[in-house]
Formats: sequence, C-alpha cells, structure tokens
Amino acid sequence: MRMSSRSLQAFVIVALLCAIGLAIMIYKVTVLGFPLLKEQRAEIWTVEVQATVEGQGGSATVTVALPSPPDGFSLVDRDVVAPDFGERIEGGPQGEVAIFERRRFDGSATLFVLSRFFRVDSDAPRPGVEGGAERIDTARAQLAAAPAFDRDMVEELIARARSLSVDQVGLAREAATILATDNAMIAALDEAQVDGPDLSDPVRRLVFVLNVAGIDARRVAGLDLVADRRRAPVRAWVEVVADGERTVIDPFAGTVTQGRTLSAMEGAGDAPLIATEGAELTNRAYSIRQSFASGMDRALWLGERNAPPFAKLSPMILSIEAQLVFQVLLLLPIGALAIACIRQLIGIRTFGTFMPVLIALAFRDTQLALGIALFVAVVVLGLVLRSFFNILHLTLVPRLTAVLSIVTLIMLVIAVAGAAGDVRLGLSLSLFPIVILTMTIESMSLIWDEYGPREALTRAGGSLISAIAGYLVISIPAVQHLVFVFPEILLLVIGAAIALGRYNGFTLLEFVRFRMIEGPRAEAKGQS
Amino acid sequence: MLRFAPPAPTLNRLARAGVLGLNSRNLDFIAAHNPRKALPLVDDKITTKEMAVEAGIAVPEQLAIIRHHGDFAPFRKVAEENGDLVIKPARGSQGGGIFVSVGSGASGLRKPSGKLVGWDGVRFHVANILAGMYSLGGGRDRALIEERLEPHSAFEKVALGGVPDVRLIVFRGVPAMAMLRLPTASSDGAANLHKGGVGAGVDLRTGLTNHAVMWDRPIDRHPDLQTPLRGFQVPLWEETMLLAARLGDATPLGYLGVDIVVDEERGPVLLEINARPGMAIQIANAAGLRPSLETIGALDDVPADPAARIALAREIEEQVEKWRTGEGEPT
Repeated sequence: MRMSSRSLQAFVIVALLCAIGLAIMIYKVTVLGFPLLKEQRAEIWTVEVQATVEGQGGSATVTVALPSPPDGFSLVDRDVVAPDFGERIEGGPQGEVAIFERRRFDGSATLFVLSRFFRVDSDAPRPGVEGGAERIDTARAQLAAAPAFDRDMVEELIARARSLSVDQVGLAREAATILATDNAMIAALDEAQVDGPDLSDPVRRLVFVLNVAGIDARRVAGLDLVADRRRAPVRAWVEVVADGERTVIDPFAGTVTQGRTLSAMEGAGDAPLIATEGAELTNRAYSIRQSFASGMDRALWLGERNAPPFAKLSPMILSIEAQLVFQVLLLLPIGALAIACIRQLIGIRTFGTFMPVLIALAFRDTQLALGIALFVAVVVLGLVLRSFFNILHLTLVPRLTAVLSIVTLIMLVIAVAGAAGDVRLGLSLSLFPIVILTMTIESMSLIWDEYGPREALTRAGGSLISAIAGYLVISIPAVQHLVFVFPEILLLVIGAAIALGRYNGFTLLEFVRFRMIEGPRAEAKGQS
Repeated sequence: MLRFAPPAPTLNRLARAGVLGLNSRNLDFIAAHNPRKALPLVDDKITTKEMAVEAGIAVPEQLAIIRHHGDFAPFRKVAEENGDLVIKPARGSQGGGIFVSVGSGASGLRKPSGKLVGWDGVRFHVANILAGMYSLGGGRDRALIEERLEPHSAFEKVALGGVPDVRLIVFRGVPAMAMLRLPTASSDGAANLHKGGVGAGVDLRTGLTNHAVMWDRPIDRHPDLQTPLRGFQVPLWEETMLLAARLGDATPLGYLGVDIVVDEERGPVLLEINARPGMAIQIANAAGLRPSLETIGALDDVPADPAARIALAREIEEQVEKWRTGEGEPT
C-alpha cells in the first residue's frame, strides 16, 4: 500500500515513541527489578547484630564481622547505631566488618548493626575468597611434620574418598560423610598429633583433610536464616570452592547443604566475630527476622543502591498524597485512549470529547451500578428542571449557573437520602464531575430541542457506553499498577493515539449504517 | 486526461462498494484539502456571503445583522413590516438555531406551521444565538436575518412546507455527488435528514432523482404526499450545478458541501457552504463517494472553466454508473 509522507512521519514517530517507552520499561523490569505484576512479593531477611561492650577508660576499638548476603540475595540496606562512636565499614577479602572507635571510653555501650537482604532472582555469584592455595600449602606442611602414622591415616582417608568419587566436590562430600559417620576414624583423628589445626573440632577437621587433598576449603561462621529468632546461634560450616563453584558442606551431617539461606560472617576462619581492643565484650546477640515487601519496595531499595540517578525518577518518590493524586491522573490518558478507540474504531458518538472519561473516573469511586444509576438520575432530573428554565427564557450563562446549582443539590439530596437509608456514598460523590454533568445536561437538552429525542438519547447512550467501557479499562488492577509504576507507558499511549488519529478505515458502526450500499453489479453476478 | 479509479478488490464490503467513511473523510479529504485557516471563513455565514457576492454568486438577500441585544429593537421594527424572513446563527452548524418566519403581526412572528411566536420568544431565540448556544466552538455569535426563499413551484409535488434544498459535494471544483433534501411533516419543515427529512440521490448527468431515504432507510414515496420520489426532475439543474462548480473557484476549500435552494424567481441561490459535509449523501444515493472522489483526485489538472468542470462531472458520473451496473469496461 502506498503511504503518504504524513503517514510515514506518523509511523516513524509512533515507532520511536513505542521503542523509547518499551526500552525504559524493559530496563526497569530487567535491571532495576520493577515488578510487572502487582502481586509479586519479595522475601526479606533482616539481621541485627548487637554487641554490648564495657570500656576501660582508654581508647577503644570494636570490630564487628558483618553478615553477608546469602546466595541469591542482595544487601539493600544497612543501619548502624553506635552512640558516641566513630564508625566505618570496611570490606576486605574476608568479608565486611564494621569498625567502631572511640578515644575515651568508660562505662557500657551497645552497638547495633542492622542489615537487610532482599531476594534477587538472578544475582551474580559472590566473588570467591582468596588464599585457597596458601591454605592448601599450610595444611600439607602441617601434615608433613606430623608422625608417619597420622600421615598415613589421613592419606588413606583421602584415598578412600577419592575412590568413591569422580570430582573434587564428590571427594569433599565423601570425605565429609566418612568424617561424620566413621567413629573409629573420628577417634583416631582426635588423637592425631598434628601441629596447628584443632582436629577435635568437626569443622576444622574436615577443612584440614580437604586442604591436604588439594581442595580449596575453608571454615565459615555465620547465621542460618530459617526463621525469626531473637537470639540466633552462630554456627560454622565448610565452604568448598571447586570447579569454579561454591559448595557448602555441613560437617556434622556430612552432607552438601542446598537451598539453605546461610549468611556468612567471616572469611578468615578463626578470627573472632567481634574483636575488641581496649574494651570488653560483655554480651552479643544476633537476631533475624523474615518479612515480605511488595516487589515495588524491593525495586525502589535496589534502585536506590545500584541505579543511576534517573532510575529514581518515579512517582514513588512523591509524598503519599501526591502519589494518590497521580494514581488517578495517570489513569486519565488511559481512559481517554479507550474513548478514542471507541470513537475511531467503533464510531459511537458522545456528548463532549472527554466527558465519558471523567464519568468513568467518577465510576471508579462510586462503583459501576451505583455510578450508572447516579448518572441517569442526575441527567434525567436535570433535564426536567432545565426545561422549566426554558419557559422562563433565561440567557445562557445564568441558565448554566442555575442548572449547575441544581445538579449540586441533586447530589446532596441523593447523598443525604443514601445516608438516611444506610447506603454510604460518602466521599465518592465529591469526585462526580458536576460541571461536566451540567454541560451534558445543557448540550443534551439542546440536541433534544434541535434534533429530537432520538438523537439526544443516541448520544446519551453512546456517552454512557463509552464511560462504562472507559471505567472497565481503568478499573483493571494490572492497568492501574502498570501505568503508575511505568509512567513511560504514556509514551505508548501517545503512539497509539497518533496511530488512531491516522486511521482512515471504516468504523464498526459504518458497516451497519452503509450496509444497503452495494458494490458493482458485475461482481455480484460473478459471485453467484 | 480522465482516469477512472474504481476501488481495488478487497474483502472489505464497504471499501468494495466505494463507501467513504468518516475517518477517511476527515483525514484524506478535509485535513488534506481544506486549509485550517480557511475554515473560519466558511464557518461564518456572513463572511461566506461576502465571498459569494464578490464572486457574483446569488445569495439570499440580507435584511439585517444582530450583533448586540440593542440591535433587536430596530430589527423588530423592520420585521413587523415584513415578516417573511429567516433568523440564523452566523456560525451555526447542521441547521441548528434556524428560525423560519412566514409572516408577522404586532404580537410576533409566524412559523411555517402557523404557530405564532411572541416577540418575547423571538428575542429569547436571538439572545440564545448571541450567547453562542448554537455556534461551533461556543463563544459569542451574531444573528443573521435573511429573506425567506420561495422554493421553485416544481417542488410542490415532493416537498411539504419548508424549503427543499440541493446538497452537492464539490471536490477540486468538480461536483462529485448530489442529493435533494425534502422537508416532511415529521421534520417540521426542516430539510435536514437527521430531523426526519427525505434525502433523494440526484443523478449528476440529468438532475433526476434515482433513490430516496428517510431515517437512513430506503423509501419509494413521500411519506406525506405519497408522490413517487424516484425520477423527479430537479428544476434548473444545469444552473444549480454551475453555481456549485463556480464556488470551487470562490473558496479556498478543496472539499466542500454546497447547499443550494432553487428559488421560484431567482433560480439557484447559495444557502450555505459546509467544510465538513456529512456522509448521509451516500445513503441517499445508495452509492459510495469514493470512486468519483478518487477519479477527480487523480486528475492532473482541473479545467478553469466551470462549464468544463460540469462536463467533467457528468463524464465521471457516466463512468461510475458503468462500473456500478457492470456494463462495459470503464476506460
């Protein structure tokens, strides 16, 4: 089909608008994690570390190991409460620590660090912890210095595990199983004379054996995020990095831990979780709490942390009051688009261009059935009373004023009657567009006089149908959610409006109206 | 060179029949051929009239213009003498706010139905016009007082009361389609189809009506007079067509609807120009506008002589008719 330059222009603009709108949307969904659906709820873990320290009069430094986000989670928020302490957070290869310092510290103080983790569905894997080769060398040297009997025992254990497995992870798992179940072996290792590691500790025992076997394994302490806990126990596990992947092994059960939400707190293996200098740690507590936020909150928190500044430009940064206003305002263009579709594609005629949109918005507050009843009642009563003004021969503007007052009074009467009858219309009524209704009554009575009741009722019906259709569109929760979270959808609306404005095909109703116009007769003959 | 442009074969029934839809009219004809600046010129009957007079086209005699409420008293004095007049809003649309009077007395004006409207009522009507109640886009307006035209006696057979008129669609100065609009008892003297008037398609070649509708439905006889509505000869057809074709030069509009009354004494008189003519003319003709419009649109240039344009209009009608009846191959 030949395209006029104007249509081509329109097409390019429409394509551009849609591309920009969709690009912003896709960016917000995939990178910032804005939720496409309202119901998406995000899992949040809040971990609070609490340390009570007693000063000794001099300068004091307290180093608190901080919980790191479990796999599949992302740290979005960290709060530190430490009165009179200078604080900073340092990250190192061993994980993050909070360092509290004070020149003169006397008496007691409680320090809080609160971390919040959001589940992110596709998180990059955490970087591995360095120093694997070093740990292996150290362990081998320690074993080499041990008596031959102990050496052979460890070598035999490793050979046994190796024969039962094909790769490093398998070897680690088999070794863990042996060390958790073979009581003779456990007892023998307890007795072993190896300088350095404490082989009576199940965690350190397994780490040592795996290091000797050439596997990058280390001890990790942390919290098991399973349920809300005021005083969560700190526990230790073995982390194995093999074949580029991290595996967590529970040395007590001798199994690979999967699907557990473990929050590691240190990487060094043996450093205390809370170290003090010039102060004494009198109490420490870890509490964990699980909660669920809307996907929106999560996206906003994530956006605040990682996103470029423009990503924060969302209606959500407005005050709640302004948000409520825009929640309604943003629906206006959507309703208007629905009306434009009805006009251009179906061909229903209405009173005024956007009267149906405003009526549709009013329906949102009154509910559909009540809204329709209200609309019909007000218009009918208004028409009757307006015909009375006609007899008085009033000029236009004063007459409009009188009709407006009447419409307002009708509203009041209906509201009062409703309240008396225990039907609560309440505030919903206030949004009913009184001015628009007045103009509707005026133009309807005009068309009634000029063109007869047929035309007037046709248009009134068309207006009502359009308003109902508009209401049905804007009352879809997904539509409300999408346009508020992704205001760039309005770019798509503009694109659609331009496309509709360039639509030169028939409307649905024209097929009815012009049905009696026949095509060329020759064609009809050919068909029969 | 005349190249007949029939609709392309398509599954769309209306497109196959060459029907022009509202969206296409707005985009492809009004927006494309009627410059926006020219619209106020034809939307205002007073400037339209000035334009037509300048081009030497017959228009109804202008008796007065009421611009302010103060102009009403002098008008009333004139009207008491001669009550044969029509009051119109200068920027009215679709026949809204038109008050027809066939005579006057000391107490008021007499409508065609015989009903007497007191001067108070007339003043109210004028006040409404001035307030812009009937006007395009609202805002203040003026009331135009014109002589009432006397329809040609030939119309007595097919029109009841009121004034019948001829609506022609003119594209690039070439008439493309015509219909005769006839008042009925139910339209109360109005010739407008949406008020219940009869619309009869007119063959551009002969000026004979060929099909008629009322309320969008085909009818054979006038609902009140029972006279046949097909085969009626519109009087002074040649002159009527010529007036319409000459308007093509007088206005800056490429696509327009021209309303013409054939007066008993004066012959064809321009009543109104419409920059957004409605689509009902296609129903009255039981034919689509598009084949004629596309053919006119495909012309390399349009003859400067109005008479030549009429000849062209007849030739196109001939081609369209051949295509429609399936007789002979259109060239």
